[in-house]
Order: sequence, then structure tokens, then C-alpha cells
Amino acid sequence: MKYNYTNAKLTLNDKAILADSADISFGASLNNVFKADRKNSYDFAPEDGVNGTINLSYTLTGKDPLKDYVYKEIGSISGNFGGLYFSSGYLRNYSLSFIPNTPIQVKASIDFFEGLNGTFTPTFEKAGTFLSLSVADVSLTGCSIGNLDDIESINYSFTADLEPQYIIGEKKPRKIVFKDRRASVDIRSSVISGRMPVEGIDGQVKVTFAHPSRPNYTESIEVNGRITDRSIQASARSSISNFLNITQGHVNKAPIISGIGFTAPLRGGNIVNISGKNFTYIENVLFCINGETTPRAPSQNFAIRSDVLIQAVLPNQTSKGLIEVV
Amino acid sequence: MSVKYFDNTDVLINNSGVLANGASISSRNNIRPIQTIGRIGSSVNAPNGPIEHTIRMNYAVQLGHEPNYGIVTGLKVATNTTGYGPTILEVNGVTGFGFLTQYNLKIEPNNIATASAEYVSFFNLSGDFRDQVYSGDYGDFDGVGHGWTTYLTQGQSYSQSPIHSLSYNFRADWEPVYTLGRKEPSQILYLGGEETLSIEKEDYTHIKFSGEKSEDFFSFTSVTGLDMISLDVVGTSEYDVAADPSTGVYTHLIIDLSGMYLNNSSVKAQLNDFLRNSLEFSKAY
Repeated sequence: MKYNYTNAKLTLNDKAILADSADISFGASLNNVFKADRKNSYDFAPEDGVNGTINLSYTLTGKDPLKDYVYKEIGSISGNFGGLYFSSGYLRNYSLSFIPNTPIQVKASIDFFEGLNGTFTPTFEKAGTFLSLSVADVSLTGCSIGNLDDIESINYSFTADLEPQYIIGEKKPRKIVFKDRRASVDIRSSVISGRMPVEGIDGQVKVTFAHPSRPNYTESIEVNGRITDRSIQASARSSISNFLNITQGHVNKAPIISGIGFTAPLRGGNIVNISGKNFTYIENVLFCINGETTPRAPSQNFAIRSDVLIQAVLPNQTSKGLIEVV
Repeated sequence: MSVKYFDNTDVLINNSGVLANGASISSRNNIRPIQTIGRIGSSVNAPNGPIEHTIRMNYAVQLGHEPNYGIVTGLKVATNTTGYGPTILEVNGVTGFGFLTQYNLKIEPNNIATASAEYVSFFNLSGDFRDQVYSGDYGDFDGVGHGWTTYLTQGQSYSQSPIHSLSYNFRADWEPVYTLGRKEPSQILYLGGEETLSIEKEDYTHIKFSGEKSEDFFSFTSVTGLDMISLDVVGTSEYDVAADPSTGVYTHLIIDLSGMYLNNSSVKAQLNDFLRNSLEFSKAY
């Protein structure tokens, strides 16, 4: 029985995605086993675990179910395609295109390190009613390269370098290590400039998009990095195009500590309040111990109370010195 | 609201009326149904491009009152690509800002000169059908161009070179610049234009590798152009077709053809007709 695109409902984390295209590829990493006294090989042996990728493209209709995975390494994504599912996927690529007078389109790639479970079960559902977010309704804040009337298009992209770590005797990775995680934007602008110092130029842009009649349908992306590339193109019978790229070495803004409040003596197990900003996606709090001057000892535990407040449990042998949030 | 008929309709270009025998406005958006995997039907209809309007008109050319060719001459000398303003257009009360994309002038033997113009608008139109108010300047409804009073000029001499039909066309290219956060363009760039002249002659013309200038082809030495002159009525009811166009008081509409290059020559032979050689000249701005 042959089915068409309407018969395979796509969900991520059990939420329906308005995908206009999706492709899933997966396989085992097998290689021929050659023996010293044989010219040919009829045997195969696995060299790596089973892994796969789902690439999908969808129209943004409000809060993006994948955007949080750009900023945080914890947690995994489950996916279901017509009854075939994976339970632990990790966002590898994510891009958003802002082209005037078009819906906002997302492209994403999710890696999973297992086969697909379940059986294909066709669905027969009618389309519901959704509101799409349009580029005509975006606004810019903190943009260092011109105002909204100067920006002809923006393409935001995020890339994560993922490495599965396997334990001998297990077929699934014990842990996924996020190595390099970068965000960048390519901007087409009418502002023509040739400035490019050797250290690059600070570049910031935050795009907020909201549906004009539904204030709750909103989303935003932000990049704070350096302008590393520019290009200017002109050809007969066309306008001059000016392109630039802002690259951010880490997807999150650097956390900044502005105040420390102790509610108990400086002793392991006691709690310290740390105030500042950009704390939402921090991964650890480091303290000095045993009189050292460089904070290296991680907190026993910490809680992110808000983007501007953390509560951390002091490690044993905490001593006076610097505190670092990473 | 009452039905409006053609005899109750204004067609205005910058508040100048033309003797239109047809006009149209077509408007379109770019709504696209979004179809998704796992769903039958479309979930949402979303804009996938800007709104555009096309305004067209066909009319008899009044020699002393031709607003569209005035816009063509302005575009031919335009140097500031960002400073060229839009044209205000009106068809029976529906108005908008437009940018000339096509202008065509057609002259044939024993026929009146007709022109057509096409404008594109990237902005919303306004207004509604209404009764004709004659608010525009329609000239004096006189001085319509004709095939038998159209000449190629050479200074003050009027060429008698037999030309069986003539068509002049001007095309302008515009680029609306759309930016984020708005539905209409932030500016309209004029990218340039191209004019072409097509004529039909009875003698064959060889095409040259490096082209041939219109001045050389027509043996012009000074003023180069197509001169359409108004008719004078002599006596009581007869046109003086033998009048010398270089003398007397006439209304002129002069189309500048200088600097064009011959780039196409084709011959057509068919039953019951003489051999016709079609030539095409062009020039880019």
C-alpha cells in the first residue's frame, strides 16, 4: 500500500509540527571484515552505533518547539513520524529565514543515535486552523548595523558539533557531548560600508516576530557576536547588494555577576545568592577552595531562580576568592 | 450604487486625461495555502509575496497632449535612480501610485496613431467607482495623430522614405526594495529602460556585424526623430494632406530616435502581398 504526505503525522516532543517537508535517514555503521588468508569478505562487523538524522522544514506559527534546544544542552528531543519514533534526538542544525512578505520558515536537523521504533500507522486527519508568523510583522532591537528599513533579509543559523560517547558493552551512547555550538546571521542590508578592522566589529541583532492580532503568538532570535565578513555585489540592471555575517562563538550571552549575598558562613553546603544577568542557560558555578586564586571547584548544586539570580551550594573547603559562572 | 458605463469614465495620468478606448486594473496578492505533512487540506493561507497592481490603458494619441510620452522622456534622461517619483493614476475614481513599465506607440497607414501604457503599482490603491467629474485636463480633444501625417525628420526636412508601419516601444525596469517589518517597499529603484523602434519597409536591409546607427540608416544629419504633426482642416470639410509640414502652424509630437542601433532585419513573403522587410532598432538607458 502506497501512502502520501497526508498520512504521516509528524510530532516532536508529542507536539504537532506544521512541516512541509521531512526526510529521515538512518543506518548502521558496518564494514567488511577481511581475514589474512582470504581475498574476499562475506562478513560484516559494526564499527559504530546505529544513528540517524531527521531533516525538516516547517512554518513558524508561534512559540518554536525547537528553539530552546539552541540555547541549552540538557534534554533530548523525541520524534514521531507516522508511528515510527525515536526517543532521544539532539538538535544539530537550526536555521530561520526572514525574507520580506513571506512566512517565517524554519529548517532543522535532529540527530538520533538509535534506530526507529514502532510501526508505520497511517493517519487520516484534516488540517486545523493555524496562524503563521509573517516577516512583515517582525521588529528589530539592539541592531548595530542599521534600522529595520535597511534590512532586506536575515538568515539565522545554529550549528552544534555532537559527539556520542559509548561505553564498552553498550550499543547506545551513554552520553552526547556538545562540542562547538555556534550561531550566526547573514544579513542583506542597504547600508554600504567597507570597514573591517582586524579584530572584527561588534555586531548585535535581535529579531522579534509577533502575529499582529495575537499577542501571544511571538518568538525571537538574537545574536551578539562579531561581524567577520562583508561583501558588496553590483551587476547591471540590479540594485547594489551588501551582505555581512555576524558570528557568535557561543550561542548564549556571557553571564555577568554584579552581586554576591551570603546568608550563612563561608562553608561547604551553605547557600550563596548570586545576582547579575544572562543566567538562564548557565551550566555551572565555580568557587575557589583551599586558598587558591582561580575558581575551579564546581558548586555542589545550584538553582537558576531567574535570568538575574542564582542560588548555589558552596563546595567543601570553599575559601575567599573569585566566583565564576560558566 | 449605480452601474458605471464606459462613457462615464475618467482615465487620468497625473491628472491629465487621455482619449482611452480601454483601461484595466488588475490586482493580485500572493496568498499561498500551506500544506503540511500528516494533514489533509491546508492549515493556513499565508502571504508569500507582496501585493502588486497593473494598470493598462489604450488610447488615441493627441499630439499636443500626450502625458505618457512625457513620462518616457523623463525616464530617458533620469539620472537619480532613487529620486524618480511615481505617477498618479486614476481609472474612474480608483487611484494609486504607479511606475511606467511599458509604453507603445503604433502608427499604420490610413489609421490614427494609437498608444498603450502599462504601469505597475506596489502600493494599495484607493477610491471607488464614481461618475465622471472631468476634473482632469483632457487637452482640446483635437490634434489626434495619423499615419499619413507622420514623418521621419532630418532637420527641417521631412523624409518621404516609404514606411508601411511603425511601432515605438519603451520598457522601464523597476526594483521595489522590500525590507523586514513592512508589507510595502521602502523605496523603488529605477534600474533603466530600453526603447525599440520597429518599422516595415519594402526594400531589403542587410544587417551589419557592428550594428548601424539610426542616424546613418535614415541619413539624418541633424535633428533625428519621428515627427507627428497635427492636421489642418482646409476649406470646410477636407484635410489638406498635401500641406508642407515644415510650414504653417501645426502641433507636433516628436519622438527622439537618435542613438538607436539596428539589430534585427527580417523578411516576410506571403501570397497576395509584396515583400516586407521588418527592421528593429534599440537603445538602452
